[in-house]
Amino acid sequence: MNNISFGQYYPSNSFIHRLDPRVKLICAVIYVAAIFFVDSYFVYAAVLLFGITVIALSRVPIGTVLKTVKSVLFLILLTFALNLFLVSGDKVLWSWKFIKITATGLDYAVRMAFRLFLLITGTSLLTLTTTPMELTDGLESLMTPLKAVRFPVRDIALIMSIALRFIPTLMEETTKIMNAQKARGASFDTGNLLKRVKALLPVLIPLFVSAFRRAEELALAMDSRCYDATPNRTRRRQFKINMVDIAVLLIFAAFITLIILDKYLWGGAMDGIIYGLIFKK
Amino acid sequence: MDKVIEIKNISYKYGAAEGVDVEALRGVSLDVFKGEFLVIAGHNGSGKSTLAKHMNGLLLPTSGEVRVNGIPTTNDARIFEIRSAVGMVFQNPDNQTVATFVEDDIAFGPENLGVPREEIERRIDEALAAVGMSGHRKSTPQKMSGGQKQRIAIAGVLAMKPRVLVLDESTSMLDPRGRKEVVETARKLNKEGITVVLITHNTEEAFFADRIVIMNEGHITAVGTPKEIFTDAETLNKNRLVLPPLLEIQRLLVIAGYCTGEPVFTEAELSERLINLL
Repeated sequence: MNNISFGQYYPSNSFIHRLDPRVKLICAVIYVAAIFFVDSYFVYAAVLLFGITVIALSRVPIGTVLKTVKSVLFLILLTFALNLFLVSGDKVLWSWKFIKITATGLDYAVRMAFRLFLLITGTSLLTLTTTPMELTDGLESLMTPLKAVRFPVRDIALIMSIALRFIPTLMEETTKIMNAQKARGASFDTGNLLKRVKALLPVLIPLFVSAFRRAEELALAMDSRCYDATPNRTRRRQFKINMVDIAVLLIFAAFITLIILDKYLWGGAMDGIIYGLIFKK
Repeated sequence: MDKVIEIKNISYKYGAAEGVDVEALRGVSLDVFKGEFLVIAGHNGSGKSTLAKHMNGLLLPTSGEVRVNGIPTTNDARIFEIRSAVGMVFQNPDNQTVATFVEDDIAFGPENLGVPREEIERRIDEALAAVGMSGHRKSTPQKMSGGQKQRIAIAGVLAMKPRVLVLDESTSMLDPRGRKEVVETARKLNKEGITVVLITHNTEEAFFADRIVIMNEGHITAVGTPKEIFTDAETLNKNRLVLPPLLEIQRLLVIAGYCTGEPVFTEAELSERLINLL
């Protein structure tokens, strides 16, 4: 199974990898939502620690995880800069002509950048430890209740898995077409941006034509193999939640509770307490 | 003999909506008998592939009737019975695998039919064994040769337990080795009792057929055993089919008066014959 590597999947046999994909999906969704409730620096540190623990358990090298941040680094820096310079406050830390940095601005900027960083690393951990196939199977299973409102769960899941299946095929095809165009003298890596985009047109058109032809043939093949024969289609892969999955969900729930408590009950008081502890000594 | 597929005087027109009106089939009648190895040969555009697509109801005739196990293909309620009885493998191996992994792909048919899970696992193993790909259950067709991909496609069809296997130009995109793999797999399955209908423009693949049907311009123009068809170069020519080199040599030998008698279909037999002549 290791000979195909699309997506970000990092093959390993850690217990994070072996978790039920549905558990991982649920955790990821809740995590994304919860990150926006993180209030105090204390809880930020706790989330970071939690993240590091999960990464360590997943046996994915920390460098691989950080690489996923690289693609959005610009976004993080931009957010940081915008918050830093645009948020106004009373306490001015530094100023030069019309630019000034306030304490509130710095606080905001650090929080936002950190929030984004945690968001990206956390969610990429899902795709790093779960194969695309497991993800589609997991999504299908999670969406099953929607069948009651006639939502075509099975078709959607099949569309997703066929899309995944055809990624390498179409990539191969793209390379072939590009080579064919290069042999005719096309150049894809010279000129300005507009020129390069224009040069891609003779690649995209044949690619689309061929994709449609493939789709038509695939439809015939699927019909021949009795697609949609019965509403009681067999589901080969059945998920079983085991004790580890439940334990993970409980730990995760406890962690989320901490975040919520910190925001609404303690009002970020943890920072104050820790502050006090440090400065009293 | 039992008829598995009965084709009664069918015609098929397409493009009526666009106003071009092409008649791909004109009054074709053909019975496919249980257990036979039938080859339908014809050049590009002869209608052979259109005929194949009528055999499991992918296409419905404009006039005439097709019955599979006695069920007309126009019977919507029983169309899946027909499609699981007549398995079809197509030309491009890349465009008929639905899943990334071999086992998931083979399971597609039986899953659609609602076969119980344990039974599906058993069928995957059986189908892979039948096409000689047992070790590849967990691998991905992406990295395989064309011949292997087509054998996986055949396995995917076999998992539905069909009575007839239709190979709709399944060898035309393969290299000679891949072609041999597929034809040999089809022959083996035929010996195990599955009826095989092989559609091709490559007459070499018809050597071992029980019966050869030749098509041209939407008609069946000749039916016969390999011996009858391959000694009739004129008919082949008229239908724009090429006599394979193995038989072309024999034809020339007959014309030159060096030998007579039944044609042979293997290189070994031909070389033996040639040695005897010297």
